[in-house]
Amino acid sequence: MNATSPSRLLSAALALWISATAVLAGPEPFAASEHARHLDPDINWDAVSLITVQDGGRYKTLDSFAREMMTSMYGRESLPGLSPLASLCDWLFRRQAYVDTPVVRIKDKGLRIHFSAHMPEAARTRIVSSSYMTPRELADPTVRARMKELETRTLMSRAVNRAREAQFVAEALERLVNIVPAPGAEPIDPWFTPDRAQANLSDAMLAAGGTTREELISRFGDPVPGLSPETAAAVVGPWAQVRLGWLSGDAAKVQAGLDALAGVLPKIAPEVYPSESQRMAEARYYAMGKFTWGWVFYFLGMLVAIWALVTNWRVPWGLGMILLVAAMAIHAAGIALRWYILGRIPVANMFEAVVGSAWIGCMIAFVGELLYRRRFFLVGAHATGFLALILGQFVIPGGGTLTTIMGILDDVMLRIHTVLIIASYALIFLAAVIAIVYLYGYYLHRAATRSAVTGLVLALAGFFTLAATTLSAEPRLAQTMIGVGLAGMVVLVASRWLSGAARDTALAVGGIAVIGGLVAGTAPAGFATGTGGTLVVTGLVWALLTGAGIIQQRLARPSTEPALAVAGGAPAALRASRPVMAGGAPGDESQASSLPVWLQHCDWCHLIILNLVFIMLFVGIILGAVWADYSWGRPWGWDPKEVFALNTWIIYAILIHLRFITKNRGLWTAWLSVAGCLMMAFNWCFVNFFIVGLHSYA
Amino acid sequence: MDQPEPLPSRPAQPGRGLLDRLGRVGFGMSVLTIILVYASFGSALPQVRGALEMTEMQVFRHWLFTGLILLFTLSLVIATWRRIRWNVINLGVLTVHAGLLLMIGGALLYFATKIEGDLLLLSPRFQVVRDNGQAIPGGEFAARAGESWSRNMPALGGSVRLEVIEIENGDMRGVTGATVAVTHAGVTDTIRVPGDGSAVPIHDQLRLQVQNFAPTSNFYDNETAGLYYRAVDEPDLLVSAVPGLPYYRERYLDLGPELKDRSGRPVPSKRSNPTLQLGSGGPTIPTGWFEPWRLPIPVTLGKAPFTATVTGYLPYVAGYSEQPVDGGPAENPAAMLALSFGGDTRSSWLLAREPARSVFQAGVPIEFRWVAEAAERDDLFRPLIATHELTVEVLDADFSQAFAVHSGQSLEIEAGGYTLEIDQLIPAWPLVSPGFEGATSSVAMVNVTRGGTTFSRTVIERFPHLTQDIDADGVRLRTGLLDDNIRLTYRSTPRGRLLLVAGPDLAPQLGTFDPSGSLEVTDLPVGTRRAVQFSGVELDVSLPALYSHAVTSRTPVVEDLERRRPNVGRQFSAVRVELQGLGEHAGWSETHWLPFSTYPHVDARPITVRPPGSPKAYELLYSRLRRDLGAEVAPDSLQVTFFPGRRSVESWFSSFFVRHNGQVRAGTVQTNDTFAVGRWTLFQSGAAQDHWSFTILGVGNRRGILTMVLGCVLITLGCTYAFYVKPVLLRRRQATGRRRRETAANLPEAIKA
Repeated sequence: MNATSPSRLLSAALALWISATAVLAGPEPFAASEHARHLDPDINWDAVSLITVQDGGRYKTLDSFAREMMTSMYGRESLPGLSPLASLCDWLFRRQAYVDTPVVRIKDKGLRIHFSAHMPEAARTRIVSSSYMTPRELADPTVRARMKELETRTLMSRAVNRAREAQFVAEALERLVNIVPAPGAEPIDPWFTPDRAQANLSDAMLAAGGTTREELISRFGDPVPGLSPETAAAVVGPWAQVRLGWLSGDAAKVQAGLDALAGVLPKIAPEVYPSESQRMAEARYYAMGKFTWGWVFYFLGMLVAIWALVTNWRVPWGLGMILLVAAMAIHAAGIALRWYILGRIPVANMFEAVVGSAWIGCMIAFVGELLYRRRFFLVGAHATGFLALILGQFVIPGGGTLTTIMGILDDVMLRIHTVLIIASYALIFLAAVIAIVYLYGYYLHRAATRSAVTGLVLALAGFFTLAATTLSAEPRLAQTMIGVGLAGMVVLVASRWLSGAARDTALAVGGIAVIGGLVAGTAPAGFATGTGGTLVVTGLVWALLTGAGIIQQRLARPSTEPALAVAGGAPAALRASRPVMAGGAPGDESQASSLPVWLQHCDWCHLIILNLVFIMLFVGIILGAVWADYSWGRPWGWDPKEVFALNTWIIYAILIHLRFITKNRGLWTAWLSVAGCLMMAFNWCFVNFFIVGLHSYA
Repeated sequence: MDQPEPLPSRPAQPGRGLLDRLGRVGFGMSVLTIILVYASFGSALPQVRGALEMTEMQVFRHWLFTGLILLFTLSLVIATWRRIRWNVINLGVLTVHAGLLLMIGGALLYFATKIEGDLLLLSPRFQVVRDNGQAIPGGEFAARAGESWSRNMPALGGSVRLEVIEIENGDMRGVTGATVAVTHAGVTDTIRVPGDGSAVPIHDQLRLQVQNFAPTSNFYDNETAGLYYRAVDEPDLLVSAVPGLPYYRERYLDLGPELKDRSGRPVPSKRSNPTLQLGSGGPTIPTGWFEPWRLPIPVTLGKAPFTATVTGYLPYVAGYSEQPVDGGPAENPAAMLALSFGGDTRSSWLLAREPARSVFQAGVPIEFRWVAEAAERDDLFRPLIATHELTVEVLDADFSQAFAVHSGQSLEIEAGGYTLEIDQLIPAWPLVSPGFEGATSSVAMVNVTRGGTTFSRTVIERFPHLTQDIDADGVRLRTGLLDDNIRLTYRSTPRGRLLLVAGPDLAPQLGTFDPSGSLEVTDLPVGTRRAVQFSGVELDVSLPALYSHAVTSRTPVVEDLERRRPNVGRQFSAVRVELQGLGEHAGWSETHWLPFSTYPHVDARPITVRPPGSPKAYELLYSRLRRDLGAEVAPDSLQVTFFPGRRSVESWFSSFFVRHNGQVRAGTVQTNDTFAVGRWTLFQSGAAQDHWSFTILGVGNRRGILTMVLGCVLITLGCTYAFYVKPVLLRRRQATGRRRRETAANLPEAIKA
């Protein structure tokens, strides 16, 4: 059997799996949308989508507006089976049809339980499990009273604010459609809704419509400043036409009205109306799903890169590089388009920071791979890009909505600080990927079976955590779980006096009890479930990969010199071939006789990244302090974000110094690199979202 | 070759082993790891900081953290001196270590001397006032060229519009004059408004004036609290620091009534002094050496004839409840009455001297009366002859008789020739007489006719002296009665009522009036419970407390735990202060809860105390410690820039004047731009939501910054050298060595020899 057969089979299997899961089924269209579903295909939305709306302190296209409003209310960019603009129109003109359709998303389970507590069993179960309420349910006086009561509770206020946003869109969307500028207005002056422009119509027109100016003013507010009756008629008329056409199902009428609006609105105040190219860019950006689908290329590239690493073949390496270039091009297109639309470097929120930093990390890794061709950079780059884009598409709150930047963040020094910090974070993740490869290889070489068993023990700990979390729903059992965790600690301590299999067993059992018991007994259920699941997946993957590595080692023929085979070298020769960029810290060459060469190469690549991280992170932190000094009058305030950025840097300082005093330098470096990555992740995610501080906006 | 003489053995150097240990890389890294753990816990666990009453700044200014940093510094110095060769190869690491030392030195200086606070600048403004000087609500606008104000006031003849044409200013005096266009009834006039505060007419009934605010030379510390005091007639507030005041948790000595939250749940004090008790009843370990807070905190109040001791702190106060306590200087009877029926208990304080608070509606009205003599009590405890009873006395005929009455009834009083018509019998008539606001009473409206003259008399049951007459023209007589000869007294009990009567020498008794007017009197000693029959139902009545000389004590109501917002500092806090008289006032003491004022000169909420016999009253105020800015700052204006739509602010821009070292100059701070005054840096910290009326400038010092900057530069350069220059040098050195070895190997043996 050829040594590379398992690798080929593995690659083929993974490719098949990706193809099978590429397409995900969407939800069924609502019955209330039937009317709009007939209209939607008959309308050409191209010109309409470029109408500008002033919303959220920004000028955006009607298409963006529609997507954002539907996301606020429904959690997706459009209602099922409809385009975003058709969803918007249907909600603007036929909202009553949806009054009993579960379309308003209440994201937080706690709120859903509070809101539905008084409802019949069926409604309660549906709301809690599906997270959707009907507009009628949301308008229930009891629900409103609960919302009012809950928003005074600090821990609930953020969730209630989200629910209120959804409620506002559901009940008063028409008040946000500010598409009418005032002639001669400044760029910051407010725009108005077409309804409000009705008060600008001439007396004759108002009389013909059977209404009075006073009545309109009392309903919609004062007239639009400076808007002539003729221009008002040119706006109000088509708007009414769209409304009537939509209600009557007359697509031609709707189209005519929309086209008329798209023609007249940019001419009212051309000096403040965004350029067509900018509006088109925005429409394209959203239409392309913010380019986050580039993760598919990164994912494929990651598999190919692992293949290249395992086999040391040139073909998969070349394929991996091509995929990396393709993925980075898609990735870069998204960043560049966003930059153009916003008119500023896109590093102002979580989405922009994650996506932007990952691209910088990928670019540095690409250059590293071109220079050194050791495959580690390639694997790291694909993993970094994949994680960033998949987070951007599925996880990060807000889903990458285009937003304004706070005035205080609009500063050159701060941009440099941010770019440096987030780039170093991307490199930290890249380094951690290389560190994990190193750890995998190190333990595969030194104690393969033990490594595989450790993976299985971790997976078992995960299973136990999941089971214990379910049991801990009852407070009495939660205390029992804490007891189990403490007992596990005793077992771990006692294992010190054991030896051989008994010691290993005690360590495994103790570890499982400590992890599962303490996590399930003390942490919130969501966190405990997440931890359990992560442990199961990572433990199993680790055990499986180690198992595959063991098989590969046994099948490998020494003459083929695959990467994972033992191939020690002379320390002096190794030292001579060490890249200059790996820095001045001592290398692991003294271990040359006992470790495979590829692990030495891995350690070098790791050091190349870590050296960059060390300097970039430090300079980034310091530039942040410089900015804080001239912005807040103090360079350092011991804000949690600052402290944990410094802590991350301290970990790398310890890492560098430990290379001078430890024997297994590569191993220590790898573990500390993983620890640094965890610290960085804690800082970026946990501190941002759960610890209130000066950087809560970041 | 001679054997060299053995060197004499070195004498043992006891410090050498210690130096070796301190200089080990492992030791330094261990200290660094402890620093990392300390920083992580101190920063990410606000609960820990809260329990120890340390702000973030205090956590990282703590002697333990400083000690760790110094230990690390020591290790760094020793390791650098003893373990690193001073050569070009190691220039990078030496530079990094030198940079670290500089950075640590600068940081220690910076944080040891760091003070932060802010000052409030109120913008000069125009005020539209009535001709009697009364301000018009919403009649203020910024004293800035281009600003306008308009109001439609139909009562004043239509719309009034003001537009500021020109402002004269430019120095510390603020606005010295302004030109304003006034448009009224379609006519526009231009007026000049002086900056001295005098009002200029803009209309028959309206005037316009400029309000300037005095320059400030102080700012208010964010961390240290201050107790302010002054005699009421003195202008200057004096201040004393309150060092060690807790910050995050409710802590108070057990000296007063139990505190409760908004939902009525008790709020016990957290640890009221810095100690740690091991288990309940276990030994107590003092922790004041580690924790920065103290209770009680004695505060010296300079010239005041009393001392103050802070005995409690609450970070979240939702409001204040007023509750009587005994021991006041004057008679002020107060009774706490509780009524239980069917498992439901309701209780309330009743104040006999306060009409609005002497009745408690607990389904049945309960009234508290304080009488001097038994005869008065007996008069109150007279059964009624019916549900409504009207007693008629005719003085000149020596006539007195009680009648059972109802609405619409007519009574002929032959003695005196009066005809009385009972117009209305109202059970709860709201009283509006001064001192009786909020109180109600049963009222009988009686039309009295004598000799062809008719007037209406409003007979008030609870307060007969408030009884008033209305003449035939409908004019109510404010003082006296139209006819003093006839005296009407009204009593009623339509729903029945309870009457608690006590006196200085009279034990409390409870009278239970049935709706029919019958009465049952029960003794009700303090602290006992009595079952009384009321309309066939048994009620449990108790009198938990009865004070003859009550004073009102303001007790804070604590915010519910789930409603508390984090990181609000002391904004909603209060301190409990115990005052002890000095000198001639020795023996006098009072305890008060003082609410927090962010700025003592702007939103002050002082309490006033007067030691017995003292000619002066004193104001006490709890706020932040005042610090000297070393310069005077006078406001000019606040401006903002908006995002499109003008709904959210993009950035703030504050302009002001500064007098420093005798020179006046204009200053500005804005988002991302600071301004230096002496050793203080001013920065934009807050602003008014109306975008003009005030701006808040943060104030901070920044000693040691340059040292830190230099250190950071060295670290960056050193790292770059160590990572990217040192390997090149090493590579060259190795190549040179290799070439030398090769050259040496190729030399003929003769030359080698």
